[in-house]
Amino acid sequence: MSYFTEEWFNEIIGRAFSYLPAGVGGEILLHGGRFSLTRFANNIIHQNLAREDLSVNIRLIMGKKVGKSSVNQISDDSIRWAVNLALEALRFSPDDPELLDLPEKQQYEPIDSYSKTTAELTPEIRAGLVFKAVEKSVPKKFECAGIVSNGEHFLGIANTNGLIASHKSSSFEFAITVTNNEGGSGWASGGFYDFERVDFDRITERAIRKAELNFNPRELPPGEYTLILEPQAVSDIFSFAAYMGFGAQAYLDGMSFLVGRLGELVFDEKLTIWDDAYSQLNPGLPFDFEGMPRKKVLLVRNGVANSLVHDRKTAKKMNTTSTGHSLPQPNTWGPIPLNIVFNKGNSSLENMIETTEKGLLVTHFHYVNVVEPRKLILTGMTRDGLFLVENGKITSAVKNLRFTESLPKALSKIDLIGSELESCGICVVPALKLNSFNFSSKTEF
Amino acid sequence: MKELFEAALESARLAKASYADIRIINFRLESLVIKNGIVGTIINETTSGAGIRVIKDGAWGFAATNRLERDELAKTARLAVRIAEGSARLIKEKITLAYEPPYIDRWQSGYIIDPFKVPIEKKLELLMKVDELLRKDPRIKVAESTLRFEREEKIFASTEGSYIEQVFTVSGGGFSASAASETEYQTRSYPSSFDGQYAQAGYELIESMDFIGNAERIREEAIALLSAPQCPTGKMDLILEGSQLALQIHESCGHPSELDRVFGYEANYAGTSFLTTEKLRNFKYGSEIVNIVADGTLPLGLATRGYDDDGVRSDRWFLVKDGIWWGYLTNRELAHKIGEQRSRGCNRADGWQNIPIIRMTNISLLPGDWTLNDLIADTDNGILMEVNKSWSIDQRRLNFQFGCEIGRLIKNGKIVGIVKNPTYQGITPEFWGSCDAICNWEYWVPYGVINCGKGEPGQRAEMSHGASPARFRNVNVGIIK
Repeated sequence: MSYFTEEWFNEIIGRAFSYLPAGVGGEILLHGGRFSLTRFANNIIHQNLAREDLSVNIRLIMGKKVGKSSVNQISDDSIRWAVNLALEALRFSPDDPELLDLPEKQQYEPIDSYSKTTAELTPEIRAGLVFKAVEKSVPKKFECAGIVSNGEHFLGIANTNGLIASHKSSSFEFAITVTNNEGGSGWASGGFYDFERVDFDRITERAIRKAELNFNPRELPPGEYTLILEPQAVSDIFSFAAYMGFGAQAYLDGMSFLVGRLGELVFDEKLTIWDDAYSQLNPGLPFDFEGMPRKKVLLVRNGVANSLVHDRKTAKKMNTTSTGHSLPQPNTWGPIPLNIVFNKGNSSLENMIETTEKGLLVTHFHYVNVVEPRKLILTGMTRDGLFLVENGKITSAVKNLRFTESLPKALSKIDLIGSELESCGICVVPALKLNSFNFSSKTEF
Repeated sequence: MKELFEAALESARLAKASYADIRIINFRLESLVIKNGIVGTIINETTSGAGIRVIKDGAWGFAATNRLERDELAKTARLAVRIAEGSARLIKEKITLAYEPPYIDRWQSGYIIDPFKVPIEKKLELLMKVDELLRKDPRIKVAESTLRFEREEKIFASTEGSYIEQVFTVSGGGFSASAASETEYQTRSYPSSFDGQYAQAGYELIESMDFIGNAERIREEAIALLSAPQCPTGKMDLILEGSQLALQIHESCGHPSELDRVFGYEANYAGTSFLTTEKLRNFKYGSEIVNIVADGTLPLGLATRGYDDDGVRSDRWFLVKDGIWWGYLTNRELAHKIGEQRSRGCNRADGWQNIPIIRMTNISLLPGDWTLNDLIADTDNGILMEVNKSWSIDQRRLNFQFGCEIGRLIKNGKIVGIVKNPTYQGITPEFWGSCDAICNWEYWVPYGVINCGKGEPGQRAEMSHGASPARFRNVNVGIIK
């Protein structure tokens, strides 16, 4: 029987459930797939790999007790052993008064995110793509580093209350850093489930163009600057708002910057944000990790904090319904949004630059982290192309700077929103021009 | 089992690989988290699989599978060779491995009490007791206590004739209390943040940490931080306690000493390094009292092992000697690029499913001769920062900014109060150059890091950093005003 198919999944869950003693509820969460990645640096391929794996996660419930185990083998012995391990954990676990029964059968809206061609890209094709990128950089005496990856991924969930769901997706990613002969670098990336819709040449040329601009960087003092953030830079910082702010458990724990601010203006009025697994630019999963259907959630409407995302547990506590954002249960994080989508604006990146008297343009950020959660103060470094904009033009490269800034404060002063959305990590976002952004220190390159 | 290894290696040989190795790993993980009186996380995980690495036409190929059957392993070896053929389309020079003799050996880390034989109810009972103590005050919104145990059984075999069996047992845990008010959210952790302290040891490590005896202090400190003043802003003398100093070593010495970063292999992701090779043995990394040692043999160290995933025996050497930059972390592929004949044994993979890359071994700051009391008494205007809260460093490992859970202000040789949100920022060689005092062996602890990320696809690695509190003069502190 072929791996990573519905039929294969049904056979495994049938066996696993047959090992459960009477009176014990069970949930099987199975994920697995095949993944390949070609890694290059200094214009050569230096790592190149393929792997296949799976994980069968068994969660058992009896009364108010829960037990769990997982294995990556599907033989009878392995599944039976995992069931017994979960039963042992269940026997000794303390009662959880908040524990919910397993959900019943659900209806899902299908999401198309599988391309057989993409799933089956060969090492030769990946090497050919790297070769093309290197070919464009060598005449300029630049060096490339990056990845080309592809894979296919299966997720299935079923429980003894009759819920069953599965989803198959593919992935493709290309990321490239181009370094010029003075050490200045440029970066670009793109990814989608269908590799034919990724503009490989455009991404390569974008990174090369950045490297061409990134000579003789000027040293600028830290301080407040008008800031143009390219989409990846927006994603690098907003991802923290997603998992530190808009999850209902973070809110209940008192950690979210939205505590006491739901219904209030938290960002600029120009900004509207959803969590939307059905976005064509970044299709997600049709169900969450307890099998609930994903809903499109309006997180921010015209700058006003509108809603949080929920799993069944937080929904019950806050007297609402699950939005389909659960992580595998049980967990300490609670629900988190995984498919952030911003509204579009009407400005091109060129227009943002042309309308800037003095400001900085950021390609992306490095090593962003949370300094203080309640004000959502973040810190991080610029990377692979920080540029000074003066009188409507890029006038020079700038040595990298460290920012330390409250994200809600920075997003409360948006001048322009980009007219094109890009998929970057968990976010589909435009470029943004912010009136003010605080850089706190500098580095040497 | 040996027939599985032979099937894979023979398949690689038949496909004309000039070198091949295979790692078969069985991994067991037990992780328990109690959050606010209920089970927050429960993990009982067992995984196994094989990773096969080959050199064909002078290039690397790697393939991995969870299916440990003879035919499947032979097929995976052929896939690794095909991948190497793809890599060979774009190389400048053929891979040359530094010499290492073949070993037939068995190595195992030590423990007194096997953590997997301790009943789960005993573990849960400890976590529930801690949880109860932490939540005695309603201002504590979140109490989390964690225990985690790992056992990795690994066999490495290569076409050079090595057959090495190793068993690693890791234990650890910790707890935290987070207090919240209308405007503040403050956390204290024990013995350090992000799930606590870890070592290659057994359950005796858990028993030695005295969770119960420290829970009430941690609770009260979290609550006190809600009304504590903000950390002052400006230049002050800074004393870092051991666990924060361990992370400072990790980020500003460990990562930049990885030779693959130095040669640009991580340029697209983790970054490169300011410690370029012309600096070797002539660059002033820190003050003369700064001596930093890499040690794959350190007792309790999370990176301690008999052999790395190149089949190289563990080593101990200086990275920084009397303040001068002295050495790198190397593997068999790159050692020759700095003129070394042998690898230092730093090639490690995250499980069977990843390709080995250069990872930190245990990296430690050698102790000085101060006591902490004397160090505080010798400081006129300073701050003692404890337990990491946030970390960030640029991609060449120069500009860093760290946040800690609690700061203790020092005036005229005495601690005069606590401050919230303490942060400090610096440039790596200037910072280490300002180190003027290090506490002695009595304070020296190998702090375990279990979540070090590197590589594409991302790999997790574990290592320890021995450190005792140390003082740094005239440091920028207090970023939040």
